[in-house]
Amino acid sequence: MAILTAQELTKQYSGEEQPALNHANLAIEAGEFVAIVGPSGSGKSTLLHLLGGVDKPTSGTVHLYDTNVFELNETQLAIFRRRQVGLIYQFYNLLPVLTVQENITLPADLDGRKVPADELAELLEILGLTDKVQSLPSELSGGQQQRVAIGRALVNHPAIVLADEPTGNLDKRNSQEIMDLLRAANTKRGQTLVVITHDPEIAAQADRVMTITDGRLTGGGDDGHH
Amino acid sequence: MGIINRITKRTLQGEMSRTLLTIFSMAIAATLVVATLVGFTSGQDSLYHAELKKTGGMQFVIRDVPRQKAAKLRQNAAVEKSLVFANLGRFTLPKAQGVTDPTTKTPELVAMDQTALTQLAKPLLVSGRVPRNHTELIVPTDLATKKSLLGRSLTLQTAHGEQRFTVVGTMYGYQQFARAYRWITANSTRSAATPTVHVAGSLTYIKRLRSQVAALADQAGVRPRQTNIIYNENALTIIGAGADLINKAALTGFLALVLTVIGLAAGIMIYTSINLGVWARIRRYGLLRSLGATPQQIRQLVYREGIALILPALAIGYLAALTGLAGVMAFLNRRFATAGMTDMHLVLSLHPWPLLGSALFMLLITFLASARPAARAARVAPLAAVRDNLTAPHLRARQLRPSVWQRLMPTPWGQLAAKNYRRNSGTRWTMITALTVSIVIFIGFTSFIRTALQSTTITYGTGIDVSTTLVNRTDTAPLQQLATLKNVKEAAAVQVSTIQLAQRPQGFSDIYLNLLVVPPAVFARYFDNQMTLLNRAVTTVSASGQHQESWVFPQTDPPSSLIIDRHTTLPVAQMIKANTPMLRAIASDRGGLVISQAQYARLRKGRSKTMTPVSETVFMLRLRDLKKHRSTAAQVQEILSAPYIYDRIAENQTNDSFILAAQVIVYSFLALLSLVSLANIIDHIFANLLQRRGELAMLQSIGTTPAQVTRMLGLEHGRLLLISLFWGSVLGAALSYALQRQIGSIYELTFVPPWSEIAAVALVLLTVWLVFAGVSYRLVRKQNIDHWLRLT
Repeated sequence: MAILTAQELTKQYSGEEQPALNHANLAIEAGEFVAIVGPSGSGKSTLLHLLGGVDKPTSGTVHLYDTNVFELNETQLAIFRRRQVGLIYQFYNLLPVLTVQENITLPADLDGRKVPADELAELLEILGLTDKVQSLPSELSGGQQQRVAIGRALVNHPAIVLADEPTGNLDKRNSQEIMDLLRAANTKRGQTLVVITHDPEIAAQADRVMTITDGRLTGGGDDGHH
Repeated sequence: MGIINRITKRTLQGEMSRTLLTIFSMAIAATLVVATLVGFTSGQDSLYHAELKKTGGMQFVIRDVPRQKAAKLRQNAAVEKSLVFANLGRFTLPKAQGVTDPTTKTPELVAMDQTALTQLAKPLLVSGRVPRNHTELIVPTDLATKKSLLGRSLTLQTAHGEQRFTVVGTMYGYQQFARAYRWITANSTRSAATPTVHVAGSLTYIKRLRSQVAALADQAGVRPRQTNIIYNENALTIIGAGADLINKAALTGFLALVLTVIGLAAGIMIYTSINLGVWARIRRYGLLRSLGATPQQIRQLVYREGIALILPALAIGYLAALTGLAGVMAFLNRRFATAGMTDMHLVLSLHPWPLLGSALFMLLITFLASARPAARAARVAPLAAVRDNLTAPHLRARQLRPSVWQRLMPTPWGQLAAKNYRRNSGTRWTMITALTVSIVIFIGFTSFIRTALQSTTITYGTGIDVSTTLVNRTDTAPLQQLATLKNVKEAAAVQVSTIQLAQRPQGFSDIYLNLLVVPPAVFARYFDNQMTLLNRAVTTVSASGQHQESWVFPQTDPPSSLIIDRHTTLPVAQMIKANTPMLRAIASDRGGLVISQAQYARLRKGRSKTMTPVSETVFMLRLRDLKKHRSTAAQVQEILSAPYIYDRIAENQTNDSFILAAQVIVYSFLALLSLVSLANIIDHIFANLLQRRGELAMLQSIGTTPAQVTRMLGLEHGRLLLISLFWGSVLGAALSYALQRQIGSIYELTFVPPWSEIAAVALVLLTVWLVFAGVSYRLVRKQNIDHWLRLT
């Protein structure tokens, strides 16, 4: 059963001749690991931001379960993002004034929810950050910072995790470690995962690969085939 | 601690130097608010109590209270303290005595016990003492009588027949509150049996005083009409509880104006600081939004930053303001004591409302100043976390075209400064507006207040040491007694009449001439027993604010005679200039023809239409030893039984003390206000510098030297400061002009362009600019380029 569907999703930036995303359709099943590949400027990140409710389309819809994401008002949309979506950025985007633990629990804190201690300990253990909980992002390596970002994306058990080039800023060894973590979240926790990448090796680890070129998405799965 | 509070706290901790600078700036504003509100109420309280002392601490008198109800009234819980005195009824003054009361034909006689006499009568005593028994009397000083009444016997025609009293004291007759007890004797068996008494009292709580007193009067069977209750309006007006609504509105309006000015200065400063913080953290707000923070939470983040900054600032503000006020009050009290102003003693009043009000006011200002930046932060799109184009300024084609300034710049960093200046229009206009408003407030108010204070330091007096005017008294005999006083060097008296001339002499302004009637001794000593034209200099203020002196009569070719009518011509023996204090005092305001009392008496006959009669006598003295002015003035008051003695030395000391107090208060206020504005400028410039460290690191990384970067920043900020200085000066001068025009007609203020204030602002801005250049150079030279490039 598809938990996330996008229909006729189009994004046209003002002043641009071609739409960044052109009538994209996709359906993502629960527990699926999907990779979206494409060259720079093809619309990958635009698609990801639209799926995560971070940006709004020119036309088209995104449904998570039965909710039409773009019918939500600003506050509902914010609540939707923190409860249903986990976002991982290429440049980590951690809050420099918060510690590792505080960065990870940030979405839960914003939601007014306290993360149970055992659950947090388990997550830190998985991320390999148990001894870094009180460190600030500036005291961590790139790989460690991305682990914190993954922890932050997973902490609220979102319906879907969207990762935008999560290994784009890391060396090969760190890249693989990050992918192992994401894969483990997918297999062990059943976490639905959409990863944007232009690295074929990473894309190969996904259940399904979609390709986007000049804003046109192929292999979206809305027609039922994987 | 919630996540919003934690982020706020860590953010402020992470930018400690800027946080401290902002707290310091806000603390100055808080000091200003606390000092204004607490200082205002303390001043009100101090003046109120000084005024209340004159009426024995009483706020009101309820007249004609039935004797049996008076005790109950006095025991009412609302009444803090009270006094009672008997109403002996109304009387008339037999004509033969030559004494009339200008306020009524049938004055009221009251009888007081020693407590009431001490509290109510004694503070207003001008001469003599309070009565010791029911045959002695105190009379008001404003009676019409030819001779001093002190020591004389007076007969009063009362309902119980004629009663004789000996006048043992005179009491200041113009005190509005004392119209309930102008004619006072001591208690007797008769006064203990009067059906009604007057109750003077003071309430525990001042709030709704008039309705409380009216209710008390009503309970006591007195209809609370205007004539039945007399309030101490002089005292109550000071604390805004007076009957005069215009006065009350003026007091409130004044306080509102001062708070508006402070609020504006503080608001701009806080807005600038918070706004710059928001600009610097747009990406962070975007990230938080993308992670699920609601617009409401982002708004809270900005508001809490404002609150987190204002709370410590308020604590510092309270401490600084209360310590400062205590210090200023101690200084002024010493000054008042030295000037012999025993009634005047400033006390720091710590009422809850000004203390709480200061905090609420600052919180409100912070809230209002944070509202726009908070709304801006809440509008940040989640995408701003990853998309640079959302945080970068949107430039129009016009902004991309090279400006004239850019073309004129010979160096690349100069051209870059011109580009930066043109393309950062958002922050640039915020900064120019904030700076301009700060400068307008400083120049406008400082120059206005300086001009107003300068006008108070101009002395218009004659220079005579002691003088008094006795209204309705034409007896100059006491002059002889005054002249024999040990400390008196010169003594004179003058009475003024006006005569209409048959024709206006050449150079005279009109046909009415003052006749300065002097006793024989004065006529001989100063005028050689000759009719003398006494010329008086008058000072006028020119349009440019200069004080110019001119003479009432032409200085050359004085008329040899003055034609009064067909039959009478007055020979003018000489004309002299009133160039000594005594001659100036005799000449009064307009100069005139000096004649003897005998000449006046002859001239007056049959000229009731063309000549006004003398109606008052002015006594003037110069002293040998100025240090003994008080004792001599007291002797003069005793001899003349005068209601008011002008003592130049005491007056000067009092005026100097009040002017000093006004200067201390006003200049402290302006100094703090200027500091708020200055802190705003510094905060703004340095926040801007810190915000651009990444950009500066990038310039350094491509080979720009620290000196070149500093010059670029200097050029950008120099231009900004110059534009603000220009508009601030123009608008500040306009504000000063508007304020001076508003009250100029009352106080004869003349507008003078505020050059000194403009120069002071220019100097301060130049200093700030130089310091900024030094700090920028040091910061750029020492900064870790790699670190800032990574952060970018």
